[in-house]
Amino acid sequence: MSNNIDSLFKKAYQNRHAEPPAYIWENINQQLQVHKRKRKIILWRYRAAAAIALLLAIAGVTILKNTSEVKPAFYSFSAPPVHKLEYTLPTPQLIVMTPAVHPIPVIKERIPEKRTIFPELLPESIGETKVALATSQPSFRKLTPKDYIPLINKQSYKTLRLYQQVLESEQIEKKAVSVSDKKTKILLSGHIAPGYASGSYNTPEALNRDYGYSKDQMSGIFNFSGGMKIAIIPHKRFSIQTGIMYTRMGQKTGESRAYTYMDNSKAPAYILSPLGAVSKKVTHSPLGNIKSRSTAEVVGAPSFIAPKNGSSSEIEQIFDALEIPIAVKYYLNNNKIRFSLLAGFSGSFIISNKAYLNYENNREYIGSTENIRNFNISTDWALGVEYPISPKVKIMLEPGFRYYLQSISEDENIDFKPYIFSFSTGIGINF
Amino acid sequence: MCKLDNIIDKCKKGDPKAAEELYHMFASQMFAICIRYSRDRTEAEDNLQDGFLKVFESISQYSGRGSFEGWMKRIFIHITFEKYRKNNMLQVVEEVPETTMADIEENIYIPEEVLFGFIEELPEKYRQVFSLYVIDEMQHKEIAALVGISEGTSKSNLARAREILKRKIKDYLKYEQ
Repeated sequence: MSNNIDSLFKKAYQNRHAEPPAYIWENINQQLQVHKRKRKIILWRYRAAAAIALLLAIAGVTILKNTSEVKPAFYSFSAPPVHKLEYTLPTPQLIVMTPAVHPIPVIKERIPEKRTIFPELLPESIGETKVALATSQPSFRKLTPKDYIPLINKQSYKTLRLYQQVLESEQIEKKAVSVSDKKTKILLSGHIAPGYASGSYNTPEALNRDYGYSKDQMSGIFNFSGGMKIAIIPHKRFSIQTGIMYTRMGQKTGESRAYTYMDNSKAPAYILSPLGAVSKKVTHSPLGNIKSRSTAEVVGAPSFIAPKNGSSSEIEQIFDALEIPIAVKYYLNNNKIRFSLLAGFSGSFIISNKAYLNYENNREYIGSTENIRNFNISTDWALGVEYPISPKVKIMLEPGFRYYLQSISEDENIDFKPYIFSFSTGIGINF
Repeated sequence: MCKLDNIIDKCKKGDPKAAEELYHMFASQMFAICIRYSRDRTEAEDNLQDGFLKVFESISQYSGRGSFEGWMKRIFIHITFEKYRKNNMLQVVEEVPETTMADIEENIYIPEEVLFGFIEELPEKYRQVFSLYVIDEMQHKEIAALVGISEGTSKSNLARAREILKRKIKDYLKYEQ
């Protein structure tokens, strides 16, 4: 019945074209260039982060490697009990250890009564590199070929080197004291950490939320955090730390558009963004809807408002949180300047949730983002450097990375996990 | 590989010349769609711009299955209705009495501009449903989701739009004779 009327209109509209004004393409082209530049900036940020992570990893491995070379304890040799040594390296040179010159108690205790060590390894002939077996008799006796064994395996060679280090080191007694000092210490520290906060953003079906937007329209904010930490140090290599920290994080959404009344009496009257628009006093944003509390209002007909020519606005969403971290710190070395790796978790309570509209050098508070999760859990990673300025006080630097393990929004269509790069500086006092 | 496929491939790689070529190839066609579903010309221009940005942003998702023109058309229709829903305002819809008016004859001639005028004069909801169903060949289910009405309302809006158009055509033909 309705076929005739349908086909009449369909035929009429089939080839209907309308030529758009030329400036539309110019606008599109301009926006495409902006997107391209932003994509490049984001790519460089990722590369820089990867490079920093790689450098930290290399530094960590290097320090760990250097530390582990010195690591073998002098007091628990599993090596063959070759105690008093005389060796020739590389040209025969007699070095004699005697208890009187280098009194090392543990070593002394293990001095055997007789030469019963590795009798089967004693060579027929003498090698170029040799170790002379010591006896319990006073030193400086004349050695015979039978007193030598060759360095036949790595362990023997290591043992020899360790003895050499013992001979050369004047710090050995001090070290022995520090090793045996296992008293638990407490370190109280205050921190201030400037940084950069952003987030990883994914939305599975953008169109379901009525508006489309892209990642390259979003950028982070420069943030800061600060607070107090307390560390319990049960072992010279480990500490467990907690505390209370204040952290600011957030996100900016660019290329939003501000509309104003035509007579410019108030601004903005109306907020519209490619990422989200105002509808009945609600601004949509990638992180969720913003409940408007500003003077902004939606007017009844579009003819009362007009876009601000050429102006581009930015929605800035800021969240403040109180955080309780719990982390383990592993010290990579035991020198004056100590390097450490830190890993842990933080529980954060959102205490402030604010959204602003930035346009034409103005900044207007427009409300708060809806459906924000009040309690979030994040994971923390950092590289620590500590430098003592006195026996009790030390300066602490901690470049680190924090990543939230859950989306900050409870809206099931929004997956926004904040992350923060920070450079924490602090002062700690030992108790 | 045809010329369009070649342009699409270049656009996927971010070639600005190919983007311009694609724009000029489809701009007038897509602008007609934007005009059809926007409140005024300014809004249609905004929608055309936003639509093309969306096309360039998501062109890598176009798999090559189905017509590219159809894929683009859907993006523009979605963008336009997205804005429509955000600026949703109450509109008084003219109540059309239920009638069973006889269909129009098959071979009649009415100038295109007159037909466009009839469509323009339809209440917004009727115009949207009629255009989406008849001109853009969408199903009621899809139209309902797009416009934000129920499937039943979409069907009744279509029927009422047809009734109004029939009445206008008959009046026009009567006047012309």
